[in-house]
Amino acid sequence: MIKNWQLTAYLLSPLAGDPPRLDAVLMRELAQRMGMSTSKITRDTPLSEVMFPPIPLVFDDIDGRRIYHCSDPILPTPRQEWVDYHAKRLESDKAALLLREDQRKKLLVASGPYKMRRAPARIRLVNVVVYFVRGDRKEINKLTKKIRFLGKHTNIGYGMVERWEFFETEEDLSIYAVRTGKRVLMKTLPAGECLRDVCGYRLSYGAASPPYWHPENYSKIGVPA
Amino acid sequence: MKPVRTYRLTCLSEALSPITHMMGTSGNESIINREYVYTQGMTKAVPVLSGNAIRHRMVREPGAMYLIRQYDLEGQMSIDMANFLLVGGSLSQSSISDNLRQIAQMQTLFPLLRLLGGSLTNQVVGGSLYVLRGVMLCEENRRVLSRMLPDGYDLPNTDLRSCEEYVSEYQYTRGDARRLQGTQKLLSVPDVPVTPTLAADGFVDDLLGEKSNLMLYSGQTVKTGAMFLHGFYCQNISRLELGALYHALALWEQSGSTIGGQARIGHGRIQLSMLHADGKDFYGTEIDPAECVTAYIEHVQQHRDDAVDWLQTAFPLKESRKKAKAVDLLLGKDG
Repeated sequence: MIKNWQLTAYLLSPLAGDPPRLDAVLMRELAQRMGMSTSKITRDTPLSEVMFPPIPLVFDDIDGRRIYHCSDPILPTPRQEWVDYHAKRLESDKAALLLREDQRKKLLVASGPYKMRRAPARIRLVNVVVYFVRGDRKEINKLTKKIRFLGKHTNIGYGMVERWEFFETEEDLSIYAVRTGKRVLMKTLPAGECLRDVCGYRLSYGAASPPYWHPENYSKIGVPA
Repeated sequence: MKPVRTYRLTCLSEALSPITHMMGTSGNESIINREYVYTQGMTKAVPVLSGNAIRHRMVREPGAMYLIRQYDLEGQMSIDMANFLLVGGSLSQSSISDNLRQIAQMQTLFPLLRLLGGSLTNQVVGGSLYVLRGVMLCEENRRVLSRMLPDGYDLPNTDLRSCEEYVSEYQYTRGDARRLQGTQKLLSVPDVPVTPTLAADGFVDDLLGEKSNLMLYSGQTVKTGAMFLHGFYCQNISRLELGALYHALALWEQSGSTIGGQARIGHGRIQLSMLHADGKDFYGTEIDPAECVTAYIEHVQQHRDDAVDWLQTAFPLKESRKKAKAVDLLLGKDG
């Protein structure tokens, strides 16, 4: 049944980077289940040729884009915020004898493909990530229950989801929220008519609909701030 | 091969020697890796084993070394090939398209690499393994531990020890040969009769015009006996990948089962116990890890030639590229 929901992901480990947008996560999950290969879509694939899986969220057509009724991720104030470093280097001492004789040469490790890395990652200690959505709870739940990690560096344990919870809300807070008579933006939208009489956003450049990484979707946007 | 939907392996590791899994230095002292945990109304930095370290030491390195030995690649690899197998590779060429055939061949021939993912020279290939960080068994982590433990396991109702009770320090000395008794005979100081007393007083150093290199170094450790709860979570994998995971863990255990630094002097030894494995295959049948490992070993042996060919094609030696170009020129294929 289509209703308004507050969808909360409870985290068991610190979150690295920013959490993803829910419509993108649901789309990926459903695409995988439907056997649609997401890796075949690259930045130069025209979106008109791509078939998108039907995720169980209500959507509107805004400025010619399919905008799903789900807010950007909302995080509480982090209890702690820090930077973790992830190291990666070719262990020359272990690799030297494995290489062919003519490959045993001086290796530049300060830059280039064999650069020793100690990459910083922004880590936040938050216990929840919240989304406001309008859609079918049962179908959304079927997809979210298989989503066990959020954010970056999930392959090494960051952003582990303990459980997802649904709370019904009276208002549809997925795109706008009305506070003290003003409309506050809750979701990234294309800059245009839809941002008239709206506050709580900043202008930027990027995508307002999935796939968020595809250049064809890039335009001037309003991002909740 | 029947697919496995999801598989979760929960492990408990006990430190058999001090663990020096470091995150940096504070002054002259190395400090252990910690992460912040919210406990009893405040945040506290608690020692942790990073997923990055567990992933590399327990899975990628032993698994890759096994493949290198099975394929007789020792002394035969290009740098790019070694970088790919041992560390996961890096993007070194730009590309606007993905070579799906190459990815598919890799995933078919190398279950370990399908599990871990990696970067070919011009494309990144994702893996299916999520490595959970090593969460210390201490009171500060009670909330997280109680939720990470599999069904049927519970924490004791009494307070666990605080994480600080498991933190200790080490200090070692790096000797200076000139300070050792008897070595003065080996030093080239002509026409001066050197006695042990003179050597101890730095007389020999003064004559050589050099200061002593004697060095103390110290740092924090996690004490022997500390325990960590961690695990491996795999999504949409086959039995071969599961076999690769179990096989790599077994190889890691056979090779000393260490994590963190200072393993050369006995630090970082841990004993891994598999607490619980949770997963069934697509048809709901229980999975036997030993069967998966056997299937994986057979797969590696059966596809040996194809795997070596794939590696040599994906990471050609630079000389062979030149040779190939020269041959092409001779044959008039270069246009």
